[in-house]
Amino acid sequence: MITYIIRRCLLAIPTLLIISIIGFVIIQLPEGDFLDRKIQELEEKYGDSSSIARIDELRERYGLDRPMWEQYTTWISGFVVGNFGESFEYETEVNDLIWDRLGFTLMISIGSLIFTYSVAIPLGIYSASHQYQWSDHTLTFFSFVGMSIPGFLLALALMVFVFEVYRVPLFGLFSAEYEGMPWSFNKFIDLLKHLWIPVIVVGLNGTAGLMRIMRGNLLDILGQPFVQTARAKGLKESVVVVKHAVRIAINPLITIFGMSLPNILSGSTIVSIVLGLPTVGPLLLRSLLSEDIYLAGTLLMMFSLLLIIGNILADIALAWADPRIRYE
Amino acid sequence: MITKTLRTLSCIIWLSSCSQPVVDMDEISDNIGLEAMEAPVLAKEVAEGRLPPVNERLPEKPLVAKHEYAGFEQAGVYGGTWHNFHSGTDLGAWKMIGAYAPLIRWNWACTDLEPGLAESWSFNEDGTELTLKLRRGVRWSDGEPYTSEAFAFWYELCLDDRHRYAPPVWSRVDGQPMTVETPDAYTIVMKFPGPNWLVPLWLATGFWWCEEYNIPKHFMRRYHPDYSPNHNDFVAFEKKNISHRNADRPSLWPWHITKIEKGGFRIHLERNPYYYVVDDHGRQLPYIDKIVTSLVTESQVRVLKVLAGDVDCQFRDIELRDLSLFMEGREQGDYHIKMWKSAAGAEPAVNLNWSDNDPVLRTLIRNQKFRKALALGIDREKCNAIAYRGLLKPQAATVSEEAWHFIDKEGAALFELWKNTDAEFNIEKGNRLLDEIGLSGRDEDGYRLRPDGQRLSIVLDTPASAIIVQENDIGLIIAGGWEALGIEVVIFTPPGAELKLRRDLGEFTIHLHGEAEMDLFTYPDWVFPTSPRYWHPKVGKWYESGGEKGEEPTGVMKELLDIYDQIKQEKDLQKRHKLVQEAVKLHIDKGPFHLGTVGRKPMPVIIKNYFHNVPDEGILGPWAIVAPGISFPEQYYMDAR
Repeated sequence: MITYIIRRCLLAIPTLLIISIIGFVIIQLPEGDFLDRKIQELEEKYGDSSSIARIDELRERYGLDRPMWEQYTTWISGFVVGNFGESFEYETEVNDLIWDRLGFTLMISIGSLIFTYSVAIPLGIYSASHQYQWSDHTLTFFSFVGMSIPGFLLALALMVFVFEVYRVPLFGLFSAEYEGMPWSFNKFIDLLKHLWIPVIVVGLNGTAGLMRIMRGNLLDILGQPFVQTARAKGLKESVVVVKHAVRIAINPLITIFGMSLPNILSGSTIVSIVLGLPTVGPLLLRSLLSEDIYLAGTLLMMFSLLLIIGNILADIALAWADPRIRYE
Repeated sequence: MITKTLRTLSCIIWLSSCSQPVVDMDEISDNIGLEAMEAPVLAKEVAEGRLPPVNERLPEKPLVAKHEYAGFEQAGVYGGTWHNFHSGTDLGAWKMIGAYAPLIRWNWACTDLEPGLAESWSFNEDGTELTLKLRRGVRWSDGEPYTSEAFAFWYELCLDDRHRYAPPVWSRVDGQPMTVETPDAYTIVMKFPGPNWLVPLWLATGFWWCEEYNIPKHFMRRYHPDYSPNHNDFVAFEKKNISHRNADRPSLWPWHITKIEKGGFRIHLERNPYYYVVDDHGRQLPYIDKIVTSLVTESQVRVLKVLAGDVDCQFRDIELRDLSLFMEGREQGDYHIKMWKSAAGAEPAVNLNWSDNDPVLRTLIRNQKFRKALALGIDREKCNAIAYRGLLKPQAATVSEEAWHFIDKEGAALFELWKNTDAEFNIEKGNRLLDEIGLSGRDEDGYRLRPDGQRLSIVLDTPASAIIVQENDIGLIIAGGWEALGIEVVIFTPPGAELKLRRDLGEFTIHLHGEAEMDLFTYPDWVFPTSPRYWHPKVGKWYESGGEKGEEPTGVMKELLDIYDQIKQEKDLQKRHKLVQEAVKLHIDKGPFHLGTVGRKPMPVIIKNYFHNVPDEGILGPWAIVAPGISFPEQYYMDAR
């Protein structure tokens, strides 16, 4: 088991390296670079390109005069020691920009995961064990609705609804009075008050889907002979379902856990843009548009890192839950 | 109560005359806080001995803030925090309000210059020497004296090859830079190799020039390689010199930055205790204590922030398309709206590349009848209705109607003519013109054939809709009109920086760009081909590079550039205005060189009902005049709550 985990972790390193190369190249593919835009902006302000002066020195200052591979190696070697370079657009260290936002992104993602699983599994079980009853039909109906509404649309609808009814705008993660304040218990409570909306919006899609999967799996399992044996032994129905059937039916859900992380991260990006949340999503979008290479590259790497960690965790959890899995 | 009703009225109908006479000091002295000569927070610091008394902090002759605008109510009370937002990481929208500290200022009407940090300025007989006398006793926000050293230090940097600054365009005559002398702490003398009458205008223009030439030497020398043994190059210097990225760098602003949060997502400013401007009664400005400005990059979030009442007063970053929402939310959000204007002559202008790379298109575009036909093919009413809900005015492409070149009767009449020439939509007439110039052959799809037998096809560059949605709509409407003229239009939306590269290098046929300019002496390039932009990328390149690059001007282009050269040599202001008018006549007679769509956009300004002294009307278009900075926003105040 331990060697398996170590091997997976080691494998992550070349994966990340390849991602970083591909990402870095793709970011720079469009013609022109950040400085071209910057110079254009300065020219419009200063009225004459000779006034903004030694453009070559500006290029040198941002390191954009060097070949791409050299820019890449400088950036990636700094990356290893936690120096992610400078954001051109924000004129500040990437380090200053991302940590808060990564924290909130993780918070929303993990919150959504917890929400998804803690709602989907019980409802899926209930739905399967009450197959074709009216409660199953109701749940099925809502799960299809949940699966087909995109997260951003739901966010918009919620926003309009809340604004029309309560006349309070629904955005951000803090009330105005707590924004920018140091952390305190009250601020934390305020955060929780705001957090549930993005958590539900981001998680809803996955919840509905997972519920369907849980229901289907469980129905499969419930038809198998060992379940009938358990029933024949005179076990209570709840014990049969929860202890015998669910334990097996839940395995695919653990595999899906690794895959649902990317969905949740990208889902949270769009929802964050709509709801104005301080996560990395909007920052990444803007940095890609403005070709802010080091910021965009670092964020892409962080996303990849989260995904890889998520996948490793899912695999470990699966191995732990299902003794049939081998590590060879 | 009456004032409140009046204010409410003024936001419903754009009542421009609700200003009240300045209240006499005796009458208002029973109002709490109006007798104080400085802010209570500062008075407290003075009492505790942490700050010198106000008369020692103010210059000998402080600048008195003017308020010759409708909407000024009275001298204000001290205190309050002004919340607003900005959308750009460079803090530009805020700097237009609170970073206008030039040597010489534009007046509110933009019809003249007035003293700023300099008390007076004068040229010698032939315009080769400009002498500025600085206000005595002005101080940086840390209390250090502001002297001619700041300007001299900046110019040293310009001459230093290791720093990226170079002598600016206005400091050079025939390519030769000026020399700067500072005989004493309060005198700056600029000497030019030839007459250079436009320099005072440049010193007054934009927040970016005064930001550049006012460098706190006593602070920045710590990072300068010649003064500090710790530095070998200007890397640290340049980083520390970015005003909105360094809360420690002293400033001359009414409010100086005290805290920059999370890489600039929220910036806190506090009143500058040494600010050099006072009100009519000699009370130190600003009235408002603190500013909190947040970076909000998503336009929908900005809308919600306004509706939620999270902003106290907001200029810019307010979209006209959300106006009805803002109007609806007034009562709930406790704010009113004043309608300012963009003063733009075209939103956007359709720029035809005078030097298209394709020789056939180049010849066509240089044919006046072809350009007139294209102008006839633009349905301006439709542009207005679809992109702007009918709130703008269809017109030909012009600079700002309020520009000071067109104030006299003759100028106003000329502008009227300019605005209405080539502003007609008439497909039939356009088709006739195209037939006349030999483009009558058509291919099987009904498109006209060029003289070389190919289909007449034009590429129209538009920005991605995510950036400027209106330009996208208008691009489609223009394409529709030109298709009716038998011209194939290919709409091209290049990603990233490519759109701008194509514009810069002149590798486009047609592109769109908003047009507004209040002063053509300093920013002449909408009328004169002086820079590689708009409708004249290559001729402009030629002029800017002194004939080294680009394409040599001929014909009307040369005539226009000759007029601009005359302007630079002309001492008399009225004669300079006449020269601009002459150039506009050339545009009318031999143009259009760029085509109009719609202009004159109303710009909503959001103001809380407890927020006072904001002008009822103003111009939020061209950045060069720095509105609302020119209205002295330091005299806006908030009711004590």
